[in-house]
Amino acid sequence: MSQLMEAKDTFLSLFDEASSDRSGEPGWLRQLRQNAMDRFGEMGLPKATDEAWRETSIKPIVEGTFGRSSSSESALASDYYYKGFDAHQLVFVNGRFNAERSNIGDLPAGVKLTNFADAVTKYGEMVQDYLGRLCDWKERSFAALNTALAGDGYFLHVPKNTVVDRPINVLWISEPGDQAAASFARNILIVEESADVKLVETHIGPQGTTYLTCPVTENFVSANANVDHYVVQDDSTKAFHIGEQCLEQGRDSRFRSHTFTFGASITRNGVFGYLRGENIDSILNGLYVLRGKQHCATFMQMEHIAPHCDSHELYKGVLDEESSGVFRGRIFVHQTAQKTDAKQTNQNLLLTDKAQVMSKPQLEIYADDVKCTHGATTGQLDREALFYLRSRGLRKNEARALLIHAFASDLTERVQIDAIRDKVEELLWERLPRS
Amino acid sequence: MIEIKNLHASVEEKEILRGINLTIKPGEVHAIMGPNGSGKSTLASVIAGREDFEVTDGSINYFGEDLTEMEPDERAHAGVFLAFQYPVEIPGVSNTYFLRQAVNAMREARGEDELDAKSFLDMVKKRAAEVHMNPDLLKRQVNFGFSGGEKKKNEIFQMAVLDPKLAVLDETDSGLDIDALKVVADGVNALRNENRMILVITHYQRLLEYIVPDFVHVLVDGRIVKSGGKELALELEKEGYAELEAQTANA
Ligand SMILES: Nc1ncnc2c1ncn2[C@@H]1O[C@H](COP(=O)(O)OP(=O)(O)OP(=O)(O)O)[C@@H](O)[C@H]1O
Ligand SMILES: [Mg+2]
Repeated sequence: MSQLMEAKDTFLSLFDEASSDRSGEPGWLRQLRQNAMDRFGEMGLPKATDEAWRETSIKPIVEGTFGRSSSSESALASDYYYKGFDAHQLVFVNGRFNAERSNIGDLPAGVKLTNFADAVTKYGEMVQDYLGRLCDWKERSFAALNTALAGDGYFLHVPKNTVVDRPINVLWISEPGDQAAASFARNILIVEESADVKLVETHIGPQGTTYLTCPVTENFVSANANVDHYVVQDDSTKAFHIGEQCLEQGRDSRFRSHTFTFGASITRNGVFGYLRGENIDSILNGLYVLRGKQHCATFMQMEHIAPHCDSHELYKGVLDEESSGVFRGRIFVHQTAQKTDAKQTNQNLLLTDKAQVMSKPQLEIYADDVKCTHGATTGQLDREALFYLRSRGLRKNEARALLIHAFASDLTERVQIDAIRDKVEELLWERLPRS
Repeated sequence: MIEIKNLHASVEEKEILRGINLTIKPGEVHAIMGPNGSGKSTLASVIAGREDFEVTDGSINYFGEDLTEMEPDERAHAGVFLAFQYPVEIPGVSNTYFLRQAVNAMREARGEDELDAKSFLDMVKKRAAEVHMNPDLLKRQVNFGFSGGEKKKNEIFQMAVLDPKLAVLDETDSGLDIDALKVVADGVNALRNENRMILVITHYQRLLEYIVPDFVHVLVDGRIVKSGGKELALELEKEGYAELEAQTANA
């Protein structure tokens, strides 16, 4: 039997093992899970020949055996990772909600914020209505796996005209202990008309531990709503992080997302956006800072369906040592999407000869009156600038750090929440080469 | 004191400097003139320690130390300053932050404490006023989007802040209108003192009316072919380099 088949079986048996967890679930959900698992059974794990996975080897994932972690306890620090971050806090350990460590606090009237399992119980109809609507699990193996095995994530519903005063921080701690574990957080974010919310998804795990985390978030942003969305990924550099953000925006809405990738051995950040109404503003920013043999792939697909929408993506990578990056982005402009203003940029800084990047931003345009651009650059530190700085007395490592920081700070500076910006700045400085 | 002896330097196997001899003592201002491509910037780069250039022969003795053995930052710590012919734009780094790093790196190398933010800003503002630099430029990113004149003023300003023992000014006058030229020249003259050594590299005799040198050297084809007092600049202005070039070609 091939390794790919064996790995598939691992996940199939994970599904069987979890059957007792599902016994109390409503029939529709059990059916959805079964359908997704069947579909996964048909698709199997992505093959090396799959276009979308060509540059990302999942061999280490295939070779790993991932069980289910029973523990929802964590020895990691009891704070919420950020310093002085006044937020509604939800904590998940090994994919399970940890109510004691969470501190949701007071929310504005009508806002629903809870963990997935609880939402299924309390708001079953709403979950049924939204779950799987954006995430195309029939097409993507890991999305199918997530749908079948969907464990605890968050469920957030912000009613019309409601402003959530403080940001929401969802912290996933993976601390599997001896056996490598897999978790499949499934998140639903529903922001109704003219509502406003800031949300942070944070992923951490102790250095040196191996685990697989496959979170999926479905973001439903209604007309004139505003969402600031952050992902800070600081997983163990031996972990695997295969995540997906699905997004649907209604007219006049604003969605700003910032994805920071510092951790994991293999990271895959999928982004699938559907701009359905007019006058949407969609900003997607990303920064990946890699070293060792870390790999980060961004796979993005934005569909402009309605006219007068803006989507701007800026992704930057800093790649040290033998790390590698992939950026595959596609903006698809439907014939109906006149006056689209789309810009997709990917810039990479390679710090060594062994670091590599494959960058392929693409446009597919079927409307005739649009402003769409894309661009990719990959370069090394500017030698002239290095010499200039050193000639003013900065030591070589200081000069390098300053230039790398200048390249990346473009993205850290866009963070609107101080505690988050301080943290990503700290993570960035920590990773700047010292020699 | 800096003593350059029989200095040969190459870039990509091509010999550019072919036996330079030049000694500058504290308090002196020397000017180097010479045609395009004669090696003026190469000499400046070799003094400052640019890695592209390889010193193949000769020596540079700087206050008893072999300058060629030092890293560019170590040279800066030892008081060497180069005003670049083409100052480098560094987007994403603020001028103030950069200068503060530079000042503190120098202080650290001298075993002094870091300057706190307030003392640093006070000092910087004073120096900016001395060289008539618009303090707004401090907030901008290093040289980014600066006009040609602003870039050159920024170099002089950095020189004023870093207070070097040896300042090499590579065509700091080129491309400046007369007002900017005066600002640059005034800045340099204000910094002129009995301890500082200044090497002015220029194409144009005009600068030397404002910064009056003690010595003028003519660099042609990687060698100093003629040295003299400030009157040599006038001579060159009249006669051009053509004759000197012809002489070296025959030599
Ligand atoms: N990095 C380099 N690589 C290759 N050749 C170089 C490099 N730098 C300078 N050269 C060559 O060395 C020679 C001298 O150049 P240099 O810049 O020192 O001249 P210069 O006297 O300063 O000229 P200008 O008056 O135009 O500033 C030229 O032929 C130039 O093309
Ligand atoms: Mg030159």
